[in-house]
Amino acid sequence: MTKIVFKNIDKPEQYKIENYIKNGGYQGLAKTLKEYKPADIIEMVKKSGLRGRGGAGFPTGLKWGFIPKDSKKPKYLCVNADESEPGTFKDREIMEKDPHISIEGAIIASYAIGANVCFYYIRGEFVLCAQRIQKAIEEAYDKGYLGKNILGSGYNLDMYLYRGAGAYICGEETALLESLEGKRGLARVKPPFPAVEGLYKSPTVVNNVETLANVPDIVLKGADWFLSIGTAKSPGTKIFSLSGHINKPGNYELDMGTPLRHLIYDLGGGIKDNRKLKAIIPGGPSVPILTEEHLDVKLDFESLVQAGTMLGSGGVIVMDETTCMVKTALILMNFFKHESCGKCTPCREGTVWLYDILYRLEHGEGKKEDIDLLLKVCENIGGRTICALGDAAIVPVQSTIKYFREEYIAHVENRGCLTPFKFQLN
Amino acid sequence: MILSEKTQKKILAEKNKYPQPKTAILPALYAVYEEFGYLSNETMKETGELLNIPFLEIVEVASFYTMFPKKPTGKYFLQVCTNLSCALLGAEDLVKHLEEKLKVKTGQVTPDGVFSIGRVECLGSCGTAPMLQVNNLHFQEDLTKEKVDKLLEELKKS
Amino acid sequence: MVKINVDGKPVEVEEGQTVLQAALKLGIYCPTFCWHEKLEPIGACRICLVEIEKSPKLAVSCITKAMEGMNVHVSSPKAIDGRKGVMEMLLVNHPLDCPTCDKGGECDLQDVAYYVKNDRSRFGEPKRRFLTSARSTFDEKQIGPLMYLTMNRCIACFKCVRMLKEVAGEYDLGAFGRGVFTEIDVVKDQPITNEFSGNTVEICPVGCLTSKPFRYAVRTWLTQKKSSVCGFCSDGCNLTLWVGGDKIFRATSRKNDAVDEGWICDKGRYGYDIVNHSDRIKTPLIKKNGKLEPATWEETFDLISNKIKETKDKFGPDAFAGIGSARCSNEDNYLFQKFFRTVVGTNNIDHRVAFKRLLPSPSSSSIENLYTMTNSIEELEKTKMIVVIGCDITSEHPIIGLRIKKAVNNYATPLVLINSKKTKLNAWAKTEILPKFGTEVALINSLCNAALNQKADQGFKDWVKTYSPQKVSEITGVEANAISKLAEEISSAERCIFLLGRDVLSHPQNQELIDAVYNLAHLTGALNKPHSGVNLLWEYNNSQGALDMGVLPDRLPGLTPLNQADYLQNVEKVWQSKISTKPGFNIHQILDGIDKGEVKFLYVMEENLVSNYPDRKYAQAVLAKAAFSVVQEIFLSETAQRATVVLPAASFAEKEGTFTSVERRVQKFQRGVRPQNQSKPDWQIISMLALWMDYENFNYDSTEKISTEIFSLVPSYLGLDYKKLGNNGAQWNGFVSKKEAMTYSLKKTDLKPIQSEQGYPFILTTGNLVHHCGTLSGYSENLNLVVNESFCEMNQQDAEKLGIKTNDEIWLESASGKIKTKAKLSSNLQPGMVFVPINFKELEVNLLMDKDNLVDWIKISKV
Ligand SMILES: Cc1cc2nc3c(=O)[nH]c(=O)nc-3n(C[C@H](O)[C@H](O)[C@H](O)COP(=O)(O)O)c2cc1C
Ligand code: SF4
Ligand code: FES
Repeated sequence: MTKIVFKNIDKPEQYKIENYIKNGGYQGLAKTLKEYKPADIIEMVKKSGLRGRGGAGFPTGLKWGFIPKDSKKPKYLCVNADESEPGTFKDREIMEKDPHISIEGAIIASYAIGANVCFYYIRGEFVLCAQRIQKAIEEAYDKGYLGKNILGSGYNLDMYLYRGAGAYICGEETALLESLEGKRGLARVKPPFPAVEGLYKSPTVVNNVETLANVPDIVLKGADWFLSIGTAKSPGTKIFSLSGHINKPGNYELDMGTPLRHLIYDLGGGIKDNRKLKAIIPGGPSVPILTEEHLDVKLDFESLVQAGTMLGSGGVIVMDETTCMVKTALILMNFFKHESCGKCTPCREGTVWLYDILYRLEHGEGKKEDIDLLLKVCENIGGRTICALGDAAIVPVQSTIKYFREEYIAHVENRGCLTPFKFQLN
Repeated sequence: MILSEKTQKKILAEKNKYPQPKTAILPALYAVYEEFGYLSNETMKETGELLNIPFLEIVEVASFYTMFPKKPTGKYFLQVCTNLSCALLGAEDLVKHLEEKLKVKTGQVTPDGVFSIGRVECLGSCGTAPMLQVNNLHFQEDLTKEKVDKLLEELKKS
Repeated sequence: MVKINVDGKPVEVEEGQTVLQAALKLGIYCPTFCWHEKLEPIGACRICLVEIEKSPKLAVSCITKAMEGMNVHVSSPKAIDGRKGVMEMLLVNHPLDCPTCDKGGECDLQDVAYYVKNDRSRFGEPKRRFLTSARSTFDEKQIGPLMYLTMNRCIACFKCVRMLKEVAGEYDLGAFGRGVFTEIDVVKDQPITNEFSGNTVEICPVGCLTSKPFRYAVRTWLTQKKSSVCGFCSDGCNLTLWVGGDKIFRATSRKNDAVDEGWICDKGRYGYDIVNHSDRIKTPLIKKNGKLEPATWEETFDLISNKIKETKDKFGPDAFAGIGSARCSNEDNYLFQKFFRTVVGTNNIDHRVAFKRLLPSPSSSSIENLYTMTNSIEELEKTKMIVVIGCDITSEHPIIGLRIKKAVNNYATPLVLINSKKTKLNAWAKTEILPKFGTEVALINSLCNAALNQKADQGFKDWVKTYSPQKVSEITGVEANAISKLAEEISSAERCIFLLGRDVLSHPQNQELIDAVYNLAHLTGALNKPHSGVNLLWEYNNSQGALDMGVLPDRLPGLTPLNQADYLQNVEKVWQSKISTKPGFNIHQILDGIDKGEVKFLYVMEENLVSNYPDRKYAQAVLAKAAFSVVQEIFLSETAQRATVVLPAASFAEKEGTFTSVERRVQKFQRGVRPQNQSKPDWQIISMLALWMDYENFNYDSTEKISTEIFSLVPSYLGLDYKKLGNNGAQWNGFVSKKEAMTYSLKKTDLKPIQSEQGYPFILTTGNLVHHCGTLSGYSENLNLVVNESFCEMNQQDAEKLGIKTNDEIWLESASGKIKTKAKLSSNLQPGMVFVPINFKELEVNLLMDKDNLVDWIKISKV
């Protein structure tokens, strides 16, 4: 397995700039400023095939290339460290243990798109991350990696740490921009895309922390090197956050295309208490679940789509045989209804409606028609909302019904849940 | 002003820091939250005055984000993550355990004002579930009953 | 242009226009909730879903740009199905309280629910509720003096909040929380009172926001809609009056893009209730033994006509004087002056009662005497700089204020405010200049000095050099740098519009100030360029019309001088009467004439002389001396109370006719209700009186006949057609359009410093409140819900020195009189200045005024 983002993650006090530099840090930036024009960097990242690690998997170089070259407006880079997708905690580890790798990536990205201001937007609850990033930014200023005339190149960049304050939707790029503009975080209709009209109506790129953390090595080692890792269409590595009923939860950086089974059984140590596996959410609850039959699926963008799901954020949640799927859907729907920004009708009203029905089913007041009604309501939300939260919210319902319809029926027939979701605290 | 001089200074320092003034609202609210532990109408009004932004806009923004309580919480606000990964490892049990130990329900403050309990959505601590968060500040992870009891004792003492 | 197909029909729209606009252009209906023509689209409600070929998802038409060759389907099964789905979602949490909801019958949600034809809901869960109290049925709450909120009905289109923020820049209604609990509300202790609040009620698609005066008053289908024009300020907003029987139930906007763009201020929206006010004069009144007693119209006509004949026989025509009104229609004023010039035979008429120092009458022949708006409201969007001088725009011209905000917001037009006090609009200003009261002329001279160029001759140059920024800085209190910088900005502006308001019109050096601004405009090239120019903003709904109709002692209709022979001939022919070319008395001369006993007969048409004349004691004394006075009014004003005969007049809503707005737009208004009680339209009273006296050519049986006469006689109105005035009115341009070719010669306008008065340290200034207009709106119970009390605004430091706090009772005293009011401290006023609103007749502020002193000095003490 190759390590790119996590190559130094467990080195002692890697978060300090001296150690980061000692371990090869900021050489990608130095090389960038010395050897490349912004357009070269964009070209290189395009060629490397790097795709966004924040959830949508959009080709990163392509996104940077959308920034209009001739626009007189200032340009902005926003680092998306809002990491709130349930089951996902990879960016947190990067920020806590190796903050500079993302900052270096962000500086290179800013240079590539011609930004002189970069916002590092961290979800408010990540206090240690905010401290580490703040300190790291200060260190980077001290060493001349940020500020005026970076490394004598004439390039200027200011970086601000910005803390969110408890809103999942602010991880959605346009809501993040609204939040940065000091507004309620309601998603914006696209187009215009941020690359054309983003922060303060200026061209803006929003990139995930992990995405950016890949950039220094791509610059240093070249696009071909990056292409040699992972699969042809999903090059590089991906960090998977493993949680739930698993013996060894945690973050694992894997080459793209590694089989799911390897992650769960070899690295994760198998299911807790030797119980049977029931379901896996492979990329955060916004993506459809998988079951035991899918254990051999390869973890990369294309293979997961083929298996009827998505790579998403890489948050892998493992559920054993005792887990009630209706309750699972209910918990996740509670999340989505709580986090819907409330702008579009189908998402605002639909998530609550779905929640109400699931609640009844779970608590013994379900009717047989409810299952089809759930699917009908889902249909009425999907594809009709501004942002992907609406599309995501229906995923847990649709996919649990797809694989576990009989469990829903049992909830109706038995007037409630037979596998009460009662996991004990040790 | 109800806001302390230190908080006022912090807010004023944010005022002209960003390309556009409204960007300062959230950082300013953080400063207020750090001083009081919650946002009141009065403190938000003063924040607006300091930033020269209408009070209404400050309240609008504050109301969207869940991290700022709008009324006083206990000195230690214990928020348990009850999203999926934590739930799979006993989060509901953890809430119940807290409610029993502290003899208050979720959303309430103990009579001595020391503790209050809340629920939160996923805090990105799923690999170390179950967990809770104290005052939006400290994560307490990999919890067991024993660890919770010890935490409560420690907090009570401090 | 982009060509697309909607439902198979080809249509061309401009680049950047949306699919929805394309559909609307074809007349294809597509429902919308969150979309509003004048607001940035947000694509939130999703009801406008349409199918676009080759696109996998349904598209929201309100925000999707039309692209060449698109095939759009509004009516395909897929699109219909999508909208059905959204409608079902919208109704999930909407309370089905239509039978008790005030919006019923005009509710967009109701209409669209019928349109999508889905009468079955699959939603069986309890609905979300915003509980206002445990026992409330409708969960409604009052959020301002004129507004209620029923949050359960909200469908989160955010139009209310967007309108206030985007268009008006107001922050007293907001959206809070998120998700299904997103709430529209006010913030604690801050009820919604901004002057545009009523627009939110009007654009709310459901019954979430309702207005206190209208709610539960009537069902809209039981009313009739009448096209009217606002009768308060001069901006000329178009109104729809909703009437039933003899009652006006409400007023809403009637979009006129040239004027109001569909927004109206709360004065216009809520002030209609003066019409049905119970204090309206019910019958004609005749004074008997010092008391006004009811009489019949016949009795009064007999009395008046006899008195006219008798007075004219004994003392000749110049023993008469008439005061017309800036509130009455063109037809009223036209007949009024015609009556005086023909039946009576005098030019002793005027209408400019509130000005101590009258400007020369406007003239049509030279650019410097146009004394009108030479630009249009719309042009504010096209100019490159706006300079407002001496005007609290938001209070006096709210709708012009909106256009200025739009220019600033959408076109980044720099706004300069030159005012001796801060106003609400200052928040939009790029540059604010606060000269000391009375020094404005020096300031403008100094700007001229800095802007000097080859247009000025040596004489002017030498003279204006004495106004160096340094010296003027000392006089005005404005920094020398700021003066030079502003001069530079104005000089380099490609186009510039100057707006001069009430404080210029009533300034002690009003004419010098206006001339100075003309100098500046000339030197900076703004005088003769398109979308540039100097604009005087007259105050009332028909101030411009009263001027145009020639209710002036020295002007015939069309601002024509009395001695302009060709015109005079023409007028005499049409009026079938000889007309005196001897200039008559202006307002001050009229009062002096009565005082001296030269004027025996006074006729006042809808003008409250006692309250508005800048010397109350004098006005009262003079009226007491008048041998015979007729007052035609809608309320028994202080002036009417002193009349020999009172005639009940109909308000703007009870008659039809035309008003000419501040931008010279002649607009037709329909009658809303029948004249209340025994009142009659002013024009009708005059025409009946003339007929009573056998003047057959006053045989007007409709306003149309008068308008037609005006449109065939008054130069600037020539060619207008009453029938064709249509919904948007027509702007008379005449000589204004020629201003680009007119020449101008610079004038030396010296500052005359104002003299302070020993023992009276404060300068008194007056004006309108945001929610009131003149003394008329003080009769509106609706508007009085917002503010109904007078006050004296004063500078904070001044107040502290006197130990005065806000709401303290204070005496205001001048050499002429003394009145009691409440103090209101503010930082908007400079030290040494106070401001008292003129809107409440209870506070007789003109008791403090002396017509002979151009500045009113007062002292203040605590009660
Ligand atoms: C509801 C919602 C929440 C999201 N949350 C996050 C997040 O927490 N972190 C993140 O990086 N991307 C998140 N995204 C994805 C972003 O919108 C965006 O695609 C991403 O930041 C782009 O960065 P990348 O190209 O580097 O992946 C979210 C998207 C949606 C619709
Ligand atoms: S889909 Fe949901 S979260 Fe996304 S913009 Fe619409 S309402 Fe907001
Ligand atoms: S009208 Fe188009 S989304 Fe609301």
